[in-house]
Formats: sequence, structure tokens, C-alpha cells
Amino acid sequence: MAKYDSILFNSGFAVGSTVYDDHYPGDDEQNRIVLNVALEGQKGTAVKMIVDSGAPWCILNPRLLEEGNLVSEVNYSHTTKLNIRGEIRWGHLIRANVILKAMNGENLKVEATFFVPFMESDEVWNYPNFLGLGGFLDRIRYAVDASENAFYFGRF
Amino acid sequence: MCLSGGRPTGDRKMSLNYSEVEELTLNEAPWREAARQAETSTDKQAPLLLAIEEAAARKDRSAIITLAKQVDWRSRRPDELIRVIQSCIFLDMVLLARELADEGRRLFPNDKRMEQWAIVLAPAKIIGTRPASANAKSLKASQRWFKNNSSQYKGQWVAVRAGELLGAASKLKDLHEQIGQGQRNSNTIIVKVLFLWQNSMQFFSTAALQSAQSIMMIIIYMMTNRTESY
Repeated sequence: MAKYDSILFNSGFAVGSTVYDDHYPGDDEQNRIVLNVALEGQKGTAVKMIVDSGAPWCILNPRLLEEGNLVSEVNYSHTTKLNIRGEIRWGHLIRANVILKAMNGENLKVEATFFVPFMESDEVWNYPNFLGLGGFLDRIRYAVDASENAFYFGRF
Repeated sequence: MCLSGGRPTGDRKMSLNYSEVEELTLNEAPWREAARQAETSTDKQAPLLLAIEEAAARKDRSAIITLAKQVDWRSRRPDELIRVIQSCIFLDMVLLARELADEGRRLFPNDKRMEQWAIVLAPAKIIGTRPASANAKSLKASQRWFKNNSSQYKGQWVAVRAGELLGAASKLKDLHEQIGQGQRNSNTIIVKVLFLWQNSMQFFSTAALQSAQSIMMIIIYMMTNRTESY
């Protein structure tokens, strides 16, 4: 159990908590808040996503979209472009259900918007998945206790 | 629209630099010609659309906000509104894009594209909560595995459960085939381990520097010995 579980759960601020990773796999240089998040339609398996309140959009590895039944046609936008770390990428905005996985308390299922870049079949997408402010973080409650890598989340 | 491939048929990924995109943004303007003729026409809104387009090219966000509110969108076409929405998305103006998409859906209820934009730009929605299905011990063991072992699998997709590697492959599809459906449950974590070019470059730079130092040492050693032999 995380230190503030009972206080935050009982007050209604949070419904669940988890322990986050400090680094995204393969990137030991940068400190991050990395959560385990399940994508609906992928048998409950989790992927790792970086919490980034400075990012306006959530970004998803396109290969994850290709392999899972994540979205229906109506939840696809037409082509649009985004500036990702200074690189212009074309892709779709999609609407998909994701589940913040709790180690304590309850999972939180959220319908959120992700940018999914177009990829050539032989192209490699070498960026992490991001949970950004627009379309996700701006509609949940969350708190971080860096002393024990605890991430609390809830609804409002 | 082809959904299985993650992209619609005929679409293409483009990697452009800023100036190319800005040029593209201006050249693509569907109302540019109309706006140019606006002075002689009765379309008094056209110059506003051109001004939005030019503000987008300058990345002048506050101008876009001001101008977009002056346009009477009831008198415009859906594709004109969509174009402004796309500019807002590119400039990370989430709230204005969302506002315009909502307005577009209200003004053009029969336009499927407007409906799609309104859906994808809507705020996130909480669907519900459910008791945690994953085992906390299993997740923590997997976190330890990633911390200690992920550097050995750079550039690969890996599947880990309860601190044990289930499989690794360069393609996600191959990994799924490798681990099978039975291994995929709420305790399984599937991740593409990053292969960061700058880290690799640092490694190569360090290696190159060390090599250069070694060669210099050998040359100095040889020259010293040659001097001594004379």
C-alpha cells in the first residue's frame, strides 16, 4: 500500500494508486513518471506510458494500433499533422479506451484521445507512449509522491 | 477507410521541415484565391479566413483565437472550418480546436467529418472504475525486470510477466506469435524498448575518442622508442 492511500481514497480524491517507473525502458538518461496502462481490446495486457503534463497530446506507438482492435471508424479523425519534438508527423487522432492499472484500490478506465502517426511498413517508431494533458490528464485527478514513486489517480 | 493497417489507403507519412510546412500551409489554402478576390466580392468573411491562415503560418496563436471568433461559421463550408481545426491541432491549441469542432458539429450535423473531429477532440471521459485485476507483486517484479534487463533488448518488443521474460522480437506481430494468446493477461506488460540514437552516438563518440587516444599513445610510444634506438 502507498503511504497516502487511505487518506486519498477515503477523501474521494483518488480511486487507485500505483508505483511508477523512473525511466522508460531503453532510456536510462531521462527521469520520467512511467505508468502501466492497458489498452482496451488487447486482452488486458499493459503497455508503458509516460505522464507528461507538458505535452498537449497523448501519443501512441502506431504498431499497437495495428495489432489491436482499439477503435471503430467513427473514432478516427481525418489526417492531421503534429509537431513531435521538432519533427512534423502526419497521422490520425483516435479515441480509445485506456485503463490506468492500480496496484492498490481500483483501476480507472478512461476514454481518451491519442495521436497515432502514420508509418511506412518498414519504418521504426522509436518514441515512448505519452499521456498528455489534452485529451487525458486534464480530465482526471492525480497526485505524485516522489518519496516512494507513488502515483495516485481518480475521477472528478 | 482502412483501419486494420492503422492508416487510410492513399495517405502518406510526410516528414517535412518547418519552412516546407509553412509553405505547404499557405499554398494549400483552399480559400486563398477567393480571399484575394474578396475585395470585389460580397464574401466579407474570406479575408478573415486568409488572415487565420497567415496567422497559422506565423504561429501567432493569439491572432488565431481572435480571428476565429470573428468568423461567422454558419456562412462557411465544413472543409474551411476543418482546416482551421487542423491548424489549431498543429499549433497545440487543444481548447480552440475542441471549441470549433463542437461548433462545427452543431452547424453541420450531416457532415460525417465534422462529427469525427468533434468525437476525437472531446475531453477525456471517465468510463468507470473496477477493482485492480493485476497482481501488485507481479507488476513490481516486472518493474524490477525492466530496470535491470531492458538495456539488453534495445530496439526490441518484449513481453514480461511477474518479473519473467516471456519473449522478445523486433516486430510486435512476431512477439504476439511467439508468446501466444494464452500468455497475454492483465499481468503481462508489452513494451518496445527504445533504441536512442543520441545514446548510441554518445557510445560511439566515446569509443572513437578512446580509440583515437590509444592510437596517439601507440604513435608516441613508437616515436619515443625510435628516438631511443637512434
